[in-house]
Amino acid sequence: VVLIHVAARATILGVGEADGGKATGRRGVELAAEAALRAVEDARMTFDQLDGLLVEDPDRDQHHMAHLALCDMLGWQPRFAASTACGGATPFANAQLAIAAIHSGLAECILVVDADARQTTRSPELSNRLTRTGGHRDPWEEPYGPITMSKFALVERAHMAQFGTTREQLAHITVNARANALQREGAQLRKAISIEEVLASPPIAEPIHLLDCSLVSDWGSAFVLTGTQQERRGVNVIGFGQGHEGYALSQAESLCDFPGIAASGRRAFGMAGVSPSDVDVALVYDSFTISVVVALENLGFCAIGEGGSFVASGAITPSGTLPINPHGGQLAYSGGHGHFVVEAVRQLRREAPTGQVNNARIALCQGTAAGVLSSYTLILGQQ
Amino acid sequence: MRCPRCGGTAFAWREASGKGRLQSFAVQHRAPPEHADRVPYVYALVRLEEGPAIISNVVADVPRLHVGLELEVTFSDEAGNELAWPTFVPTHQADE
Repeated sequence: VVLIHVAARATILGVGEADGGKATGRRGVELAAEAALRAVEDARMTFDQLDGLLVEDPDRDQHHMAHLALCDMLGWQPRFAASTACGGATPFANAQLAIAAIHSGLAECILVVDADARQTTRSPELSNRLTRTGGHRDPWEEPYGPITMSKFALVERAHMAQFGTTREQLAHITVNARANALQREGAQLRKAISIEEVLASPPIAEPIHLLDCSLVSDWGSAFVLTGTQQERRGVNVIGFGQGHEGYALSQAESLCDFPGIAASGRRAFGMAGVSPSDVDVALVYDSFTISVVVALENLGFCAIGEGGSFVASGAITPSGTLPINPHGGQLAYSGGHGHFVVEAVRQLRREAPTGQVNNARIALCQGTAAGVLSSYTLILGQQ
Repeated sequence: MRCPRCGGTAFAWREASGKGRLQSFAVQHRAPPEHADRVPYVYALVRLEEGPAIISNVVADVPRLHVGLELEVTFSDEAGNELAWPTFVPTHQADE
C-alpha cells in the first residue's frame, strides 16, 4: 500500500472524445470541437468558467493556428491560447505547459485538445508527403528513402542484435492491445489476433511489419485541467517530466539506451514521490511495438534489454503486474494521441467501460516524439 | 552550428576513410513515390570509422546483412537524385 503524501500539481476535471475511428468524412476542427464540448460537459462546467486553450497543431487539417480555428467553432475567446507541435506527444507536452501557465497566472482552467482527420484526408500523394518520418524532412536522410517506420525499424533491429529480442516477443504487444479493445465501444479495430497473424503480416520496413504499426485514424480528444482542486471526480497530476535527446536518430549516442525517455520518467517519478512498482496501470505510447519495449525499459519498469521477455511474460496483460493500454492504445483503439490521458483518467475514476484495472490508484502516461528520442511523462493519482 | 558533443565551433574539412560498420538497417518494402521502383532497399545507419554515424543505403544481398558488418563507401546515384550520394557496400564485396 502506497501513501501518497505529495502535493498534487494540478487536477484534471473532465475528459472527452469525439466520435472518431476510420474515415468519418469530418474535418479535424469539427472533431476537436466535439471532443472539447464533451470534456467541458464531463467536467460539469461551462465555457465561461474556462480561460485557456492549448491545441495540437494537426498534420492534415487546419495547419496553422488550430487554436483559433477551434475558438471560432466554439464561439469562445479564452484569455490564453496557443497551438503546439510536439508530434504524437503533444497532449502530454500541453498538459505540462498548461500546468506551467496555471501556476504563472496566465489562466486558471485550461482546455487541452488534439484532433485530426488523418483517415478522411488520406490520399497516396498526401500520405506519401506526410508520412516521411512524420511529415518532417531531413536533407541528409530524405535522399535515402525513409518512411515513418524506418527509424523505428532501426531501433528494433539494434535491440534484436544487442539483446536477442524477437518479433514473436514484440507481437505480444499487438495481441494484448487487440484483446483489450475487443469489447471497447468506440475502438477502431475490434478484432482479436494471434501471434502468428502478427508475424505473418506484410513487411513494411523490416523488421517492422504491418501489425506492429499504430492505426491511422480520425480522432478528437480533450481534457480540462486546473490548479489543484478537490473534486469528487477529479484526478490529480502528481508528477510530470520531459527529456529530449534530439531529433535525428543518427545523432543518438546509442540505439538501446534512450536518455530522453529515462529523464522524463526520472523527473516525473521524483516529483510524484513514487516508483515504477507503485504504478497500477500504464498508458504507454504504442506508435510501434518497439516503442513500448524501449519506453518500459527506459522508464524503469524492467532492465534495459529485458523489455522483450517482459512483454512476452504476460506482465502487460490485464491480469499482469503492469497492465498497459486497457483501451487498446494506438495499435487497436485509435491512432490519436490524447486518448492515453483520457483513459488514465477513466481508470482512476474507476469509470473505464471495459478493462477496468482493480484498485487503480496511480497511472502513468507517457508519450514519445522524434521516434523515441523525445519523451513526456505524466503521473496521475486518485484524489 | 556547434559540435553536438562538445559545443565546439572550430570546424574543418577532413577526409574520411570511407570505412564503417552497419549499426542498424531497415529493409524497406514501402517507399516514398520516387523510391518506389527500387523496393526492397536497405535504409541504414552506418557508423563511420572516425566516429560519427550517418543515414545511408547499403547495396547488397539482404541475407548477407547483419549488424556490425564492415562497409565501404561508394558514390552512386542509387536513389536517382541526379547527384552522387555516398552509399555503402560490404567491404569484401567492394574487393571483388
